Amino acid sequence: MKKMLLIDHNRCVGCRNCEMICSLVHEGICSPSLSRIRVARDERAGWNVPISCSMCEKPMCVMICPVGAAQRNEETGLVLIDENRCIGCLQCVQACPFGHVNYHPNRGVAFKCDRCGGDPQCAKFCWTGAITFEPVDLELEKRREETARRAVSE
Amino acid sequence: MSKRLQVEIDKCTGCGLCQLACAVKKSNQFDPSLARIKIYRSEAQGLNVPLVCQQCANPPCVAVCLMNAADKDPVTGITVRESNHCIGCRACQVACPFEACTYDHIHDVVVNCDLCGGHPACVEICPSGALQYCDINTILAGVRHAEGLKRSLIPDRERSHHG
Amino acid sequence: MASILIIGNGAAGNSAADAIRRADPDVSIIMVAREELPEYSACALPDYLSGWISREQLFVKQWRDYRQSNISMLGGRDVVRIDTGQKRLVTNREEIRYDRLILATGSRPIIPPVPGHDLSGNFAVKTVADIEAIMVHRPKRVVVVGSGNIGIEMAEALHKQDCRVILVEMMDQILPRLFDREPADRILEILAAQGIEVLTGARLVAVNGRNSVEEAVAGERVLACDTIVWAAGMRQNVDFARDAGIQTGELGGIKVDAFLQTSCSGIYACGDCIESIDMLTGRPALSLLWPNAKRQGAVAGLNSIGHQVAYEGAVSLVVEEIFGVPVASLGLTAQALIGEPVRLLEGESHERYWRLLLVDDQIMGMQVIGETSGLGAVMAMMKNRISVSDFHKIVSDPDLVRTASWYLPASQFLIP
Repeated sequence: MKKMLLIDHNRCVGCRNCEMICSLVHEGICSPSLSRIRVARDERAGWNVPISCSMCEKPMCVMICPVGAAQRNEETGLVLIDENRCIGCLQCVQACPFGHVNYHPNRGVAFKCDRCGGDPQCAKFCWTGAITFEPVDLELEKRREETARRAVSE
Repeated sequence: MSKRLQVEIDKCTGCGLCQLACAVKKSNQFDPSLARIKIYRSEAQGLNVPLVCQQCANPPCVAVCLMNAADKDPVTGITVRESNHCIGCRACQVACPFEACTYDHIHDVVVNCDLCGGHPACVEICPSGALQYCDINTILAGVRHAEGLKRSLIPDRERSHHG
Repeated sequence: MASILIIGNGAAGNSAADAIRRADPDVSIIMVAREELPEYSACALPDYLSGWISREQLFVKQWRDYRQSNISMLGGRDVVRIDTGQKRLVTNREEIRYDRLILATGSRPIIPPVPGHDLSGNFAVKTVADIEAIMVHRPKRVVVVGSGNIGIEMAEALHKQDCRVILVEMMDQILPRLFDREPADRILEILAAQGIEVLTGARLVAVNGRNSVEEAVAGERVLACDTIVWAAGMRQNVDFARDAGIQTGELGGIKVDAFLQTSCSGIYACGDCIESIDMLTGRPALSLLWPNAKRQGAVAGLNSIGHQVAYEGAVSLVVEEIFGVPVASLGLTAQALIGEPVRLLEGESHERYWRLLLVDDQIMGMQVIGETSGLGAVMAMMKNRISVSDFHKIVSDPDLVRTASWYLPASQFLIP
């Protein structure tokens, strides 16, 4: 069963643990500018929204890449950027409507979430449960449960 | 250095002033063919598209250069060319997806945008504001902020989820 | 990993050395090469002959570049043998141990053993020494054998030095590997207009002369000349590799896997000497071009120190100027695509002549005579297998075309 990265922004407190662990796991140091997942925040308005690649089925980054570095794997459904082929032109960074693709401050290449190869660490370390990695059906079941509960209580 | 030339295509009127400003500043000639920025005009679609060097981190032009004349400046991160070593073969022109390489027919070498040392002439002269010189990270933060705002407005009971 | 040994000081060898040093500042890198010169671009040798550039401008590295990168370059070395069991290279001067070996030995010009091929006045084109030997010889009437891009460039360079030049080509058209017949004939007209005589369908069978070259016999013609410049193809330098038990392919180059490792574990190969894979067809191919050598060198270098970089295959990109007219050949020609259902798109304006070769909606090759702008998008589409239908979908969608605007210049070729 395919697992999906689920983000409940209402549970996010903006601690940015996810950014710390992501950069640590991928780059060896805790550094938000090297994180694949980024928490968009507005302290005045009071919201925190973790943003990470949604693994689109028709990815803009794949369409725009002039060297084929961004590819979608049909089997896993993951959209990945091959750093060895990336020329750092940053078309994908500009093209993603959601800002999922980042620009590496040291190597100048594009990088984004790769789901840690199947065991996303951000989900593991998110202590509020804002980020979870769950099988799809489970999510659907929960939603059906919620809908049912709502229907019954109203 | 993460400042780059940003292009807002819908604001470009195709006036070509950027090409003239560039040619005058970089080549001292009132000759748009010497401009490092090029306007691709598509009348059928009503589009005017400025094309310019993207200052790639691992440029195809550097990879293909038969004289190893193109390289990245280690300090500024700009794609630079040693004109003394360029034999004007134009392999880079074909290797670049962005039409960044301009053939200087006066000196028989290839040149590309060097961001005018931080004060791009094309940005200064662009009357519609289609050309901007700004930090990619600032733009990216703006995109994420807008996205976060959109999602934050989704009420409590409905979860947002990603694939 | 203690030491990497690289045989060869050309584009591939240096690209490998530089890639290794960038990734690992500590590992020992030793290069051995026949010539005692820092790296230079063999592509620019005709420009040196013509006087367009100076000798200094040929060099892409200086000795200090090797020192600064802590790369030890030992020139004047010939390979005696490789001892793969003991991981030792035996040269004419010493024995060198290695942990990993990279073969970047390149290729050498073919001079067919026709009568008189070893007379004084016969020259090949590969090294600085070759060009300087031609200069010292002071040629007046030259027969250039072979009309590939090296032959054409040499013909032009010699013409610029006020020589009378006759170009002899075995096939029935010039530039047989890079251009289809029609564009090749157009280029022939450019040469003819400059006074260069071109004989196609003619094979050089003998060189006559007492102590030096006096005439060449090509086809039915006897050509009075004082110099023969052989530009008739290259042979890969793989003999010592074969002797060491390293496998070579059916096309004659060293066989490598997707990571450019040879049949012998721990030995990698890159550049002219390997049997490569064509990026577009997936079939074995020889691609003796500087950009491919550089890319292969970088891949082999990184893999030799433990990275896992797959090589995406070689693609042909040749751009040159022939008497002031730029010409470009991208990808495959009709000859290379023989047997495939090729669709041809052609166009001509005052600026240029162009033709695109398509197979099943994919761009497989392009040839241009004249203005070379606007080809970058086509090249990128060809390498990434972006079909013509995909292209139309993108440029006709108002949102997509604004985001992916780099595709647009290809419209002048793909939208009638």
